[in-house]
Formats: sequence, structure tokens, C-alpha cells
Amino acid sequence: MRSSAAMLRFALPSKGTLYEPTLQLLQSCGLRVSRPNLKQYTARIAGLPDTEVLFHRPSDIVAKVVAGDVDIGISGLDLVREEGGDDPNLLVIEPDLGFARADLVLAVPEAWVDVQSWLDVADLAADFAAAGRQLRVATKYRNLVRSFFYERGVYMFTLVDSQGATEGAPGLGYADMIADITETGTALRENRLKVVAGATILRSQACLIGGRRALAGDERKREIVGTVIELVEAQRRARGLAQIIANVPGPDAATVAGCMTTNPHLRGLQGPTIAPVFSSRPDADATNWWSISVVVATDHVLGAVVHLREIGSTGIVVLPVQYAFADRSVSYSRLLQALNQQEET
Amino acid sequence: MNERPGWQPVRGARDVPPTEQLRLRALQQRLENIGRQWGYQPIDVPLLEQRDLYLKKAGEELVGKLYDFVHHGRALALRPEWTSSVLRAYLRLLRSEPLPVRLAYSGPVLRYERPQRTTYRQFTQVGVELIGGVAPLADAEILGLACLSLDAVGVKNWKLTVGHIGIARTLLAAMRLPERTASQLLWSFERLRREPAQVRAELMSDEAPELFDLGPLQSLPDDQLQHLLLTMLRAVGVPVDNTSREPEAIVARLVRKLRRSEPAAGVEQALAVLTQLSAIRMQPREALQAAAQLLGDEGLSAAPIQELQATLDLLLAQGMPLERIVIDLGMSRGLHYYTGIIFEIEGEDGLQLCGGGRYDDLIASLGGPTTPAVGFAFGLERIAAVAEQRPVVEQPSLVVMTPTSRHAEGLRVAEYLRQRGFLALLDVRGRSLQANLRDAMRRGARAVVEVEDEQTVVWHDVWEGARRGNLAEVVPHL
Repeated sequence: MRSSAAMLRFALPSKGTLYEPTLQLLQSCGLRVSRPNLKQYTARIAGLPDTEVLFHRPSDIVAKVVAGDVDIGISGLDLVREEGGDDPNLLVIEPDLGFARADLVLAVPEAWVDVQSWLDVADLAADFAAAGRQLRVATKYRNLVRSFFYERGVYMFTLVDSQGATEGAPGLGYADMIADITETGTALRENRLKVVAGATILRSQACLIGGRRALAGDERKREIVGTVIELVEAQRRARGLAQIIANVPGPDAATVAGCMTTNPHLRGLQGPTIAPVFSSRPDADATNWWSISVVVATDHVLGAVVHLREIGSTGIVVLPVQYAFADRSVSYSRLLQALNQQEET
Repeated sequence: MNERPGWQPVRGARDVPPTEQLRLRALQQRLENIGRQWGYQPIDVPLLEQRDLYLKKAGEELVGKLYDFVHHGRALALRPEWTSSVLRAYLRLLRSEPLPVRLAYSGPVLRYERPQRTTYRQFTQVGVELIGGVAPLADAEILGLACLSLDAVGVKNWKLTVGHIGIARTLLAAMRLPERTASQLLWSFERLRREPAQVRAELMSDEAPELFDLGPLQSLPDDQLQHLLLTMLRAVGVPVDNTSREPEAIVARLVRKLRRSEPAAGVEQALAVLTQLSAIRMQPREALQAAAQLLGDEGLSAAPIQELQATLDLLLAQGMPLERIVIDLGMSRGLHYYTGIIFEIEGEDGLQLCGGGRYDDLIASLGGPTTPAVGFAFGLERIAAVAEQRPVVEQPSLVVMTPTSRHAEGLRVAEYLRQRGFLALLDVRGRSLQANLRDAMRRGARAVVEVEDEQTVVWHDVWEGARRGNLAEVVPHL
């Protein structure tokens, strides 16, 4: 690889359902990925120095982080758990990036009217074994599915490897049932399959992973990763927030504050900011005007506006919040803690 | 460029340096010798086994820790324990031997555990099987051998915890629960103490998804009901004919489920009794009293309690201190093949050193005649961590050096010295006398023997200076 040791190697999904939302997430964090054309498998991120973006298939990203070929990457939690196992080099830096949500579930033919719950599946496995067959489960998540069955005391079954179009397997006759990832269940229904109750193997979504060795051994890389997760976290925290600016009449700041905060949502984090307005209209009466600014949850914007009107406000403006930084980054502290933990011998 | 650390052992495995390996070997030999004195004959079995041997009989705890893989179409596993293989070998090779058969084994096992201090994914088990011996006599022998072996290798303040899975089995059998519910209760037995709510939820969820009430159809005979349901399903377009199961089998199972009388009450009662049983973890006298009371309340025979009492009496007769024994009737050791007594021995710091028990059904389930069997295994590395450190006595060693041109003579001199009881190392680097003397000091060797020709040598003693002469004269007697 031609990158120098100092460059942070950041792997992003090259295609598939993770590709667009990943680029959108980064762009909304001010980290625009410039990829001149889709044939190109490397790119840069404006605003993130010393970082080289490499596009890989999501499952390869997990393997490359484990092997230390890339430093950090975005992939699906399902792939991380399936492919990464318990490799000590693999760190999940941020388990939930807020998109690509899907569940890994067990599904059986809809015609199996006698099967509702996991215990029916366990029963069937025993019935099949007694009849000299093995229950065949098609999946590409061999490790996760096997552990799920084993942990529940079911050992007699066969996993049928299936890379893609798994939901077709029972219809085509090469498996009895499947374990697959589903967002809405549409593909399952179209193939006349139903989800088995109580058998959700994993709840998955996009996540940020990194290599322990690479990050533990290089402070510069840690700093860059810190920037990325600070921005992602602040952007996610900002999603549900809006800033309200308005002019409120009142004799003094304390009275205005008193009127405002009778609505609890207008208290903001520590209290509203209130500043005097120096009126540009000489014919104005004796009323003092105050400019207020407060951050509220988007759900409460309308209620807050109604309240501001009631107390005589004018010029009410609501702005989206781009970032909301906490006093410290939860993910970054967690990362540093994980890096400090001595690898078990 | 990519920096990788040097080659490491696989996670959870480790390299053992010579100083430690000498100790481990010595300890292993002492344990094996004790077994030999009790009449246990060594046996070996492959490290690689058919996966199904463990899937069918091992407990869920162990199966989850199995290293298994498919190789050229065959499902294989690395052995996670010896008993299944040893009993399989017994059936193939020794089943015509007069009973009892006493077998001993030692070697590595592999389990995919969470690596921790003194918990490795590959470790050494040293153990025995007593085949054809019945409780309580054979149980007492096995417990006695385990405890006395620990005493002999200098493990201080071990603690013996004894349970008896036969008591839980007796209680469950009397409740006439469906087979699967009973076996699930037994699997969950040990977890009952840790997470009772979750065990309850799992057992009850069996009944959770409500189907529908058969109503007046209840009185139809099974075959008519099945026919009716199947006709209806086909009529409304459910593709029952298009799956890997026979439509009749699907409907038959549905009817069975619809007709199943709710065993929830039975499960509740079983849970209540097992919870009481698993709370019995105390000194032997009180424990046995409490257990006898529990069985009496359920109107059941106290035979397993009497058996346990008799075993304990025999153990005390071998001089075992009563205060180091705890009875724990909630223990199940995570292996499904146990039928009677089960036990664990832990060291002062709470690490488990030994585990074992009775498995009277295992040989039958491997296709042999019903044969009682009981055994245990030590974890060698853990015992080494707590056993008294005994220096390993080495033979006195010598470094033999010759000019390179006379190396053949050196070889012969070295062999002569070895036969006289020395440990002789030949210089293979062509070093000077000075360098060899330094090397001898560093290795703790007694002398450098400089070979002049086949008969004449110079004995450079590290402490006493040099002597030149005929080989036979110069070499001291050991």
C-alpha cells in the first residue's frame, strides 16, 4: 500500500445499501468525501488532513480492520459480529451511526402454521433429527446463527451457506428455513416466509470500527479519529434540536426571563440567552426589546413559538442546529478507555 | 508500511518455556503415578473427533465452546474433554475386559473460553474413568483419589463441593412433565440460581403465542380435524404443499399443539421444587437433612440421599476433613451426561482445579450395554499454579568440547558420559575453551570436558580446576 504510516486509512463501503447513507452522514458532519468518479477506489475528505479514504465491500472492511490493513472503517454491525468474532484488534468505536437499521431474524415458510416461536423451531429440529434428517437453515451469518442455536440447546441442524437471495432458499428447496437480515420484512413476505417470534438474533445498524493496534500506537491517528467521532456525535445530537431567536418586549431582562420560562421548553440547557435590542426606530415608545436565543427539541418548537407570541414576541426565527457538542465526547472517552484496557492474555 | 507484531500464539493459547514445562511434566507424572498405584491404566485417544460425539451428549455450555469445523465434507471437532472419547474407545477396545475397568489419561483439550488468568483455550487434563463401579463404593474411590492426589502434590486448603443430579432427575421424573420441558428444566438447573426470572420466561414462552380455541371442533377425532384444517388451509391459499415438510405433518403438529393441555401448572410446581433444591448449599449434615425433607414432602424415595450419605461416610473414613466439604444440590456442571454424583474441587483462591461425576447412561448412549461409570479430570496448569513448588532435580551436566576435526571422538566421549549418568552437551559452535567455560558457568554445568583423543581428556571443573588423563580415571563416579 502506498500510504505512509502517518496517514489514517479510513475504509468506506464502496457500494450497496451502506454507500449513499455513509457519504450523506459524513457530508452532514462537514466531512465531504470527494470521489471524482465511481471507478476510483480512493478518495480524500475535505477538512480531514492526513486521511486517505479507501472504498471496500462492507464485509472486506471488517476483515481489513482486523488484519490492520486499514485503521478505521464504517460497516454493518451484523458483519462486524459475524466476521470479526472476538478478535482483540477489533474495536467498535461507535456501535450505532443511526442508519441501515435491520434485524437478523429466523424465518420459516408461512405455510408452517404450527410454528410461531423459537421453541417450535427447537422442537422441529428434534423432530427432524428423530426422522433421520437435519433441519437445514440457509444463511450467510454462519457464526451468529450457530451460536444462537447452540446457546439455546439445539445442536442438530445444518447450516446451508447462502451468499445473497437467501430468502429464496426454502422455495427452491435447498433449505427448510432461513436466517437473514431484514429491514422491513418485504423480501420475506414476497417469498412467503414469516419471522419466528422470539428469535431475533441481532439488531444491526451501521457502525464505526477501528483497529486497536493502529490507534493505540499512533497519537496522530487517534486525534483524527477523535475529530471524526466528535463531529458525528455532535451532528447526531443536533438532529433533534432547533434554535429559536426572537425579540421579546419587557421592562428588564429578568422579567423577560420570568415570562419565557413559564414554558419549561424555553429554559434551554442552562436557561435562555437574553440580550438588549438597541432600537433603530426613534419614534419607538418606551418599551424595551430583548433578543432571546434558546435551543429546544424540534418536537417542542411549535409550542414554544405559540408561547413566545403570547408574551408579545416579534421576529421569531427558527434555525436548524448543525452540531451540539456535549462537554465531552462520550464515544471518544469510550475509545480511549478501550485502548487503555490491557489486552487480556 | 504496515507494522505487525511478530508471530504470536493464537489468542488463548500460549508457549510454555522450559523451566515451566519441566515443572508441569513433573507434576503430571506425579499425578499419573498416584493413579497407577490405584490401578488406573493409561489410555490415549485422538485429539480430533467426530463433532457429533460431543453434540449428542455434551452440555450446551461445552458445545458452545467447541472448536469444530467441516473438513472435506466431514464434521470434526477438537476434543473439549476426554470422557466421551475414552468411553467410546473403551467400547471399541476393552468391552470384553472384566469390570471394573480403570483408565487414566492426560493431554490437551481445547475450549473456546474467554481467556483469563489461568484460563487458557488449550489446557491439559489429567483424569481417570472408573467403568463398571457402582455408587457409593466407586464414587468414594473417585472422590478419595481426587482429594488424596491434591494432598500429595501439595495443594493446600482445597475445598470439595459435591452435588447429585440424580435428586433433581428423581423430582422431575415424578412430575410427569413433557420430555422436552423436563430436559429443558434440567439444562437450566444451574442457571435457576443465577437468573430465575429468565429461566421462567424461557420455559413459559412455550405457551405464549396463543393459537386459537378449537371450540366445538374439540370433539372431532384427530384425523378428521387434520383433514378439515388442511382442506381449509388449501382453500384460503396457504402454500402448504410447497415446503420441505409434508402438509400432513404440519397439520398434525398443529393439532397436537391445539390439543396440548396446558402444562403451565406442572412447570410452576417443578420450578418451585427445583428452586428449593438449588438453594441447598451448606454443610453436609444440614444439606442432607434438608434434601431428605424435600423428597419426603414430595412423597419420593430418599435413595439418592442415602447414596450420597454413604459416599460421604466412606470419604470421611479415608481421613477427609468434613469441614472442607460442602454439599451443593443446585450444581449441574453444564454437562448433560451426568446421572448421579457430581463434584468440583477448588483451590484456596477459588479457581476450579478438578471436576467430575457419575454418568451411568453415557456408555449406553454411545451404543454399548448399560454400564455405570464415574470419573474426574484435573486441570494441570491450574494445579501447577497452586501446588507447592518442588525444584525439579536435574542430572549434573557437562559441556564436551573437541576441535572440530575430532568431533566424531567428541560424540563418543559424550555418549560414554551419558551412560555414566551425566547430562552431556556437545559444543556445536566450535568455541574456545574460555568461551566454553563461560557457557558452562551460565548453564550451571559442572565441567567442560576437553577431548584430546578418544582416551585422553582434560576435565576443566568449574569449581576445582583442571585434571588431565585417561577418560575412565578423570570422570568421577556419580
